[in-house]
Amino acid sequence: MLKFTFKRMFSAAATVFVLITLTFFLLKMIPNGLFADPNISKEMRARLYELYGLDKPVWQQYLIYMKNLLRLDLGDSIAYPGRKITTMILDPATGNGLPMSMKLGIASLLFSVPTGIALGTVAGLNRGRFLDKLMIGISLVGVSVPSFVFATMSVTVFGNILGWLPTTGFSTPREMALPIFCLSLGTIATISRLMRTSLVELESADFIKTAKAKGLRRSKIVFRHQIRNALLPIVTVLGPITASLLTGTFVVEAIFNIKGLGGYYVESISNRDYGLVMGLTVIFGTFLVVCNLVVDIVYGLIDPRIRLKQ
Amino acid sequence: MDGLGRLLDVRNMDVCFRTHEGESHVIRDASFCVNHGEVMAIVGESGSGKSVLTQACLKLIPMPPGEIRGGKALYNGRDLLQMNENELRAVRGKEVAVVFQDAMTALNPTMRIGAQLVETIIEHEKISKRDAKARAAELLRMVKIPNPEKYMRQYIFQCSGGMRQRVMIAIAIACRPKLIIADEPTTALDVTIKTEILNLLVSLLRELGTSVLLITHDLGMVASYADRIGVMYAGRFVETGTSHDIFYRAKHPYTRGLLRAAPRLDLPPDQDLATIPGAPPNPALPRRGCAFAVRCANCMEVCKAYEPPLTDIDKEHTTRCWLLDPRAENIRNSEEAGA
Repeated sequence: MLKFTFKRMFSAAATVFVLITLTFFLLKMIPNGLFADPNISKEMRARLYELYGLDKPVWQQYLIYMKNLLRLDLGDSIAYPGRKITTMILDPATGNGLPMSMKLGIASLLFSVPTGIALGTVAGLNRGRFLDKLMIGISLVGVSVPSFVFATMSVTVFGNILGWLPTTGFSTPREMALPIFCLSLGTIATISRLMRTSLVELESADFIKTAKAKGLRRSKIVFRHQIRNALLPIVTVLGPITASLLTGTFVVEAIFNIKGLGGYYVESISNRDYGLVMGLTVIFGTFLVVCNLVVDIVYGLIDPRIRLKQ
Repeated sequence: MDGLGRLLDVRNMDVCFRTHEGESHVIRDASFCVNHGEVMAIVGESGSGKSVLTQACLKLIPMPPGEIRGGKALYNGRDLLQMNENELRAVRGKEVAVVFQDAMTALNPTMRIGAQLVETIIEHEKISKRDAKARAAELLRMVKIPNPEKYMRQYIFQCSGGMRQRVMIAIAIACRPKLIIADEPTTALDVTIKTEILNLLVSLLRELGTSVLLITHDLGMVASYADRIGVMYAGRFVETGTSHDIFYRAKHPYTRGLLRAAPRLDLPPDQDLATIPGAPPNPALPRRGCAFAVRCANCMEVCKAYEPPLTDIDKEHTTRCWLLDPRAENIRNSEEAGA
């Protein structure tokens, strides 16, 4: 297991390295360099290049960037002169930026995964009955309707017409309810369907028949043998799901006016704020890789077949 | 027949499966019994219904699509089919245990072997977990697994084929059941280990006084173990008798065909194996007459039109064949004279 973990950690680190390097050189390859505004004089442009270290050869810039990165310094913003990208993303003073997006993503993860598993279990154990059919219907809607439709609809219904919940901000529990709900629907639908399928498949598994033949009570068969094994496929999708919840908050953040990282995505690219693009890539890339790494390790821990069969 | 000495008495079982193509009538009026302390074997080719029949007795077949249309499965005089889920649970594992064909899939891949043994013991007996663990180790020792403590902590996929089947047997005997249904217990194993496992199973159960219902498609395998044998064809028993009856006095053309088809060491190696031409009938199709008629060399007009009744040859030996019907005396005599 230890060897397995180290192997995965090594490949995760390698992935992040390749990602950063590729993004760095891709950005350098964009034609029509920075400060192309004709109002900026040649001397001015030369000074700006010098200020941001852009006058040096690209490989040297790369080495400098990597060196700074090791000290967790992501450089300065071009669009917001004088601001450090690290502080823009982390924003410890206001708690906006990454912490805000994380809060939304994690809250939604904590809500959607258990809910999805619970709903899927209810459906799977009542296969063919009313509850199951209801669940399939709801999750079909959840999978197919995009989150911006849900978000705008819930703002209209719960916020404007019924007036039950606030529709902006993300600091009080009442404010959090709608964004979390809207962000979670898709995930709940995906997980509950997967859980249901995996339970139904296991119903006819040989070892379930053995458990029955041993005279075990139904609760033990269901919890110890069926649900436990049905959870394995869920763990595999948790990596991508976590990633999509933490990076896919853009629409929900925009609609509910939450000051997360979402706004920076579009802005940084249209502003040609290379430092910020790099910073976001590094942050999200690392995040994704770490999520998948954690899932791989957790999967190994709960499925002995992976842990022991190397 | 007063039913004395009968541990399991299955009468007139009828089982159907509803499939996409329609209704599949897989067990048709099948009856057999297992006496106290004996090894009863059910032999038949794949699809003859032997597994379904025995699993239906414990209601282990999936329902739906399966459906038990009729019949009784009397265990010590009580009909298992009429029991509610709780009563049935008390029988499964505790009174009647099952050894399945492939322990690799029949045991939970994410649970340690020890835990799967312990949960069976705890379910049926008032026993502390610690004692149950000690008992589990003892059981593994009984099935000749060296170093039981080590194996308790292992998972099933870490064991070799022979070890897996030993674990399966250990689980089956965990609560000292009165009857073990061994459903092709050695089919998934190498030839060399087959005999070893079967010897272990049978000797262990004789020692414990457990009755065995051995299901197999290998007639040769049961020769040295079974006290009585029932031959199944297309969902019903075509011939039942003592081991001696079946091997030396087989009456039904199907049984005789099976015996002829067994590989023999005393024949020249280049001689082709004897076969029974044709294939078993599709259980989804309506049937008229004897199911074996189309493959039978001795087929008569009556065989195609009417199903043969059960004919007693002697106290233990019964068959379903028109040739053996008392009314077919003349034909039989002429055949035996010719043979």
